[in-house]
Amino acid sequence: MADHPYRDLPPEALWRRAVAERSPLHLEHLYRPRFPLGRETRIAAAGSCFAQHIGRQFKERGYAFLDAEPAPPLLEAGERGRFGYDMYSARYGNLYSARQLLQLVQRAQGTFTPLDEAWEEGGRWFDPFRPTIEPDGFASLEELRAVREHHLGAVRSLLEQADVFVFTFGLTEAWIDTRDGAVLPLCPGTAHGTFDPEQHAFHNFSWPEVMGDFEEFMRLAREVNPTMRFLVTVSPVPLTATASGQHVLTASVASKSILRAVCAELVARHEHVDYFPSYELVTSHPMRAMFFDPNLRTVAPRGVAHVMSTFFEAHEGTATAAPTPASTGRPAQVPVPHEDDVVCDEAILDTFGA
Amino acid sequence: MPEVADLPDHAPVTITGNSHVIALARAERPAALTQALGEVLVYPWGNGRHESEVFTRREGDGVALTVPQYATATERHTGHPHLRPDRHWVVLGPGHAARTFRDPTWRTHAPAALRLPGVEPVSDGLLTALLERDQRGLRALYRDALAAGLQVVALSAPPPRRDHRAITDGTPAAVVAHLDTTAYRLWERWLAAEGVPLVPRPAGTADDEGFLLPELAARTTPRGTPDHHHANEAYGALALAELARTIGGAAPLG
Repeated sequence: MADHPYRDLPPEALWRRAVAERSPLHLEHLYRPRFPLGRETRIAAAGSCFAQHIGRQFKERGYAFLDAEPAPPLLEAGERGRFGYDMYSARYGNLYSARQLLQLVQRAQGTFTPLDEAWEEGGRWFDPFRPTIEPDGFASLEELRAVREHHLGAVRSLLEQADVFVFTFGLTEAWIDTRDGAVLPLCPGTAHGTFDPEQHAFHNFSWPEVMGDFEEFMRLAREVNPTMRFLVTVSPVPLTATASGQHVLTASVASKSILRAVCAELVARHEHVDYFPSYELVTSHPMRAMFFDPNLRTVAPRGVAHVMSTFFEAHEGTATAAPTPASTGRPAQVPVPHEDDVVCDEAILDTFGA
Repeated sequence: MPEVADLPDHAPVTITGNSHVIALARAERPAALTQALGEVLVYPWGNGRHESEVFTRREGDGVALTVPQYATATERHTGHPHLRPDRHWVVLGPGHAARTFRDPTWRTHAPAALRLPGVEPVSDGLLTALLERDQRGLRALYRDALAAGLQVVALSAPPPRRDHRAITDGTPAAVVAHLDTTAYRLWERWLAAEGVPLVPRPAGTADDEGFLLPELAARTTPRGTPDHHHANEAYGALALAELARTIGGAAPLG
């Protein structure tokens, strides 16, 4: 028999042996870290709401997870998410798209100042770029500015400190201010703000746009911190609503496919980028949707646990329960919220949207 | 200001709360005060650290205190562990923001309104949430008392002291003053909405920044150790006079 490239493939390269004949709970070598993450590695995280689980696990397992905007210690753990604390490495809320992330860094570095500075509603002020960070809004425009100034300083600090930046891609769909291209995390009028069809336009980011935005983000980050590496993932949580005109299922698949393809290309192009398959671990058909809640959208706690144990097993060698947190240089607070407490702005669309 | 209903003559005025009521217990009670208030019983129910959690529940025709220390003290002084409708209850609470301002939070954070450099700004909305969280237990008490039909009045705690340990340990005085002012404003608003009369802090007891005047500060605790937290009996006398004005509409006393 003639030799050929498939003859000596490892088991994980063969569907029958890697998937069909195995329990979906015990797929091997699905994730081989490109670079190690130790407990001394300073990790920053951002992204869509699924990324909150990642940050929480890093903290609970005693990794040096950066928190540049720690919650006031007096604020109870169960209340922190409501004010945007303990979700990520700074109080930026959910960043669903690469363009949002890029513009956040540009705002922090002073190279982009959106025209839409604040929304006033009944004497309270909301930040268009994190409209749910203060449930009742800010008391004044001055207060909003002061808190935002501190926030953007915290983002700069993260860029300087992080050894690894973890980003979870969420969506390709966004609403943009047509005047300057500023990407809003939520469609104005859903949580706060007023929708103006003359000023707010729907945009569905293409593969080249997402790719270009993330590469530009990495370039800016590595200008500040040349050794920074990046771990990218795709949120397994489908869209809750689409403004694309498609069915929400096909819109979700299109969106996630673009993001997944961007991740593949990022890994292919850049040695300093790795991909973790949280998306596949939850959504791929061998998983039989077992990790979703009955709404087939939100990920059940057992799904989160499966994803995270796969991640940490790959880095630590064995599947482990979350150990006692260790202190870090800037200790992150360890909240103990219920899974229901994961703050997903996107869910607001369930109330206000289609 | 909600009206205070008249109680039968036999209903004694009973002042209780955390250790800040000791200043009132030690205060002289001039005849005019006794004439205005009638029989007055003052006792502290215990340490204020339990007051940020709900520590009451409706029981029978009164309000049960679920913190054993508070119930024991109440029984010792009134003959019953509950707050019952046979007394006119004056419960100290509003203005006691020490649980909040002595927290280490304020070494790394500060109210955004103060624009202090080098610390994380805390919005007015978040500050309100923190303070309302701390007020939860006492608010529940006042609500339970109203629901039980008790005559209840809220008595203000004294202003914070400039020599409080929180300040000497590093919390800026401006932060303490801001927290105290904000907490007091929340109390005023909440009590008015609920219909609970508030005995305000006596006029002229605080300096321009809101701190207790030094001559009204207790120097030592009952055990003789230095006291950086409480007011003294002179303040207590002024507070009693303010109480008489609120309850009885009497002319200034003392």
